[in-house]
Amino acid sequence: MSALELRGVSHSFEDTPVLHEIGFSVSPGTITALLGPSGVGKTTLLRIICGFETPQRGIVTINDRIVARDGESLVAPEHRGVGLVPQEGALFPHLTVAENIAFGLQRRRSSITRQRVQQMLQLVDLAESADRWPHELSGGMQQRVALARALAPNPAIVLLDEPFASLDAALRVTVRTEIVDALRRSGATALWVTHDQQEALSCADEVVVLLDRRIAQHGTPVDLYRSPLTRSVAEFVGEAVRVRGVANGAHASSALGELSLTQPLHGEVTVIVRPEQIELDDTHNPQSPQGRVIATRFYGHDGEIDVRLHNGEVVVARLHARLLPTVGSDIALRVIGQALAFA
Amino acid sequence: MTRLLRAPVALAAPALLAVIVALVPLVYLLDTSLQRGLQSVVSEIFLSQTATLVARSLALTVVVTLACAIVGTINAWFVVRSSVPLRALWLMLLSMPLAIPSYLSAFAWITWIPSFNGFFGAALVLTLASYPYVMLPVAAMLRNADPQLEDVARSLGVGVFGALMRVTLRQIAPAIWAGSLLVALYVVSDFGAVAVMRIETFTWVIYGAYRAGFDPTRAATLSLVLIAIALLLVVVERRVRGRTAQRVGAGTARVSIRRSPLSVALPALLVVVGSVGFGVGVPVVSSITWMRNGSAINWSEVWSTIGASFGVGALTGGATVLLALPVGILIARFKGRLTDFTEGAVYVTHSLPGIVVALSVVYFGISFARPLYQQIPLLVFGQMIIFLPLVVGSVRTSIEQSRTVYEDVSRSLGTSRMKTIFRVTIPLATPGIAAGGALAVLGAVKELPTTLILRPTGLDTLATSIWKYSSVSDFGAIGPYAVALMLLAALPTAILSTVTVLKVVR
Repeated sequence: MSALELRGVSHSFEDTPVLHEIGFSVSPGTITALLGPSGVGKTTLLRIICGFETPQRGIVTINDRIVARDGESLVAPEHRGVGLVPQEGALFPHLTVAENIAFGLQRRRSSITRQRVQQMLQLVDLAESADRWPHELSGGMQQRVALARALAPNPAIVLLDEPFASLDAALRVTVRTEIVDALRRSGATALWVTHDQQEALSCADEVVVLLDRRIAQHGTPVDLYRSPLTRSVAEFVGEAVRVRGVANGAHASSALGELSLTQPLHGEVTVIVRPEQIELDDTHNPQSPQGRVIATRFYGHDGEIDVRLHNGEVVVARLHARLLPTVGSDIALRVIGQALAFA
Repeated sequence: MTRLLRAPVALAAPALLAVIVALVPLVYLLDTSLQRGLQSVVSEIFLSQTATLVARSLALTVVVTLACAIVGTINAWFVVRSSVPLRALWLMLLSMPLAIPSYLSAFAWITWIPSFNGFFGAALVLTLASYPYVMLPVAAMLRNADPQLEDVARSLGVGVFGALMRVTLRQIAPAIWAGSLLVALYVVSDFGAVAVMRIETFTWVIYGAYRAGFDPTRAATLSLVLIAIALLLVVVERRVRGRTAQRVGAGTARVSIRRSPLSVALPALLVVVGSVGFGVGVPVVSSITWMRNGSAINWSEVWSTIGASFGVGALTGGATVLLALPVGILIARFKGRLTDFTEGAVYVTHSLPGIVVALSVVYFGISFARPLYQQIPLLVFGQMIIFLPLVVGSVRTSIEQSRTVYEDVSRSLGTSRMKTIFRVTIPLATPGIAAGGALAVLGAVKELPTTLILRPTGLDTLATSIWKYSSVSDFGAIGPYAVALMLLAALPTAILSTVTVLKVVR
């Protein structure tokens, strides 16, 4: 059983195709991130699931009930049981916090409703704010109320549309943690749309990567990071250091030295490693790749250096902050773990 | 992103009704003017008399519109951008000319300075009566304009005044254009002021053609020319406004607004004091003087007239809002052919002067609704045709301003489309709906030609009583009616400016 399932969903606006053959499913009680760069059709896919757009081809199933098929909407948005948390929350400005949360509940004046609202307020840790107005809340609080409002009618799935795009960076991590906590505690199923790969990797059980109108990969965050199926996924999910190489089975030789590959390959390849896989090598091994530091970036907890290798290729290494060499120094490098290679 | 949604029947049916209502005058005009064949229409239009009329009407329109654009913008700037205390009160006072019908101001002026009649007098009275149409939208837009742009201009070496002219004025240009269009349409269709000031413009001649010999063909043909002028104004405004710049980027408007000290705002203060003094002071003081000097006042007649005005105003306001609400929602939220057609039909009537609408409703009443002829329903029907475009515009704008995401969330929470309209769309648009209702009530209370032509025999409203006594120059008797009308009209005016004030004061 799945809370949400899409099969062969394709959609275009007039003559511009936006989505091509999208298919994936979300298991009950899990959080799936839909990750893709801006303008890739993520919001359209969300609107299709909600029922505000009807896909020209393909099947959308919610809780094993088909809600849309091949250009026909079979279930109206209000009967799909999909909770929506839009960008910036979109709390109804004419209703209080409690009234916002009660909006989707039947018999809004009953004691059951009052209890449910209380329960939701506690879930998002806003029990004191029931009678406040949306404009009196901070951005993060508004997001939490929006989540409570979406969860109140017990939807089959909650859709979060870039919920933190409008928050500043410091607040974003805090609010994100609070929202994920609330989702986990309520046991809800969620589909989380984002363009932020860090957000996707850190919050979701599974990640669906949407690139160039189609699904590039679907897997756990670890899978995605360690074993991306394509070069574009590797470069989109996490930072990638790219060098040319020649593969002969399990190994490839490159300016970064002889690297062991995750998958056997032959011929000219692009080798990809993560910046944190590159370390300074102080063993004075003459075989170690040499280079010159051309830039350093200090982040506080750690830092990055750009190194020009002997053949002119530039690589990025992430180092502990206290290990950062100065610009212009000549250093030796080594690569930890396996490298990715793509033909 | 396109939203091709089929409109629910509950919206489409009233929209169709609105189209029928809106098209009544056009059908009448075409039918009547073509009665003697196309030939006579053409020869009527090309009479040299007609050319003179066109020239005079256009000249008056241009002069008044220009004056209103300047006066209205200065007043708006003073209220929003000077450090004057009690700005809400100032805005309210400056809006009050809306509560005073143009014919009443005109009486006040010619009883004070009799030589003021003619073109100059009409231009002065119409300017003082209609600058708020520019001031209100400009004040609202000025409040939302990004003050940081001015800072940027200053930092690039432009002076205070230069920044105002080169940056701020450009930002508020769309509001100035939109307001000026309203003024121009108002001037073209005004009947009261030009009639009192004895200047022969279209409306006055049409009324004459109707009254004197009852020459409906001439009246209808001239009306068609009038509509053509009005449509021309709409087209010109659209063209020009399309080129003006809009705000870019997602910068928030929360930045506190810069306010100039009163010493800098002194020249503007002169304009403000002049607007209030001449636009509000003269008619108010005159009315009170008339009342004092007049003979014994028949209070029971005054009270029953107030009752009639109030009743007609409330009925018109209610009926117009009820019809405008579904139409406004349809236009704002459901794009499609039906919507385009409805929008076009409704806005065509925007350019129709009251007198033309009144004549067409007479024709409609005689042909199809005989028992209703010269009855209250037909009077309300006529006024509804006149004010529908204004109310639809107000409703539609406020719905367009609220984001569709609220409705999406409501749907996803299990609320049907119709219920969403009642629980989300309408509550969010309340200020616009209230403003629209206020506009209709205000218009109905002041409206003269429609009431004169369509009222039941024996029914006097404040407007018709003022007209009746003034035509026999019994100014003493006008007094109480004039004061009552201004008091009655002050309430919707206050609502109207409050909706703007809410945007301006915060």
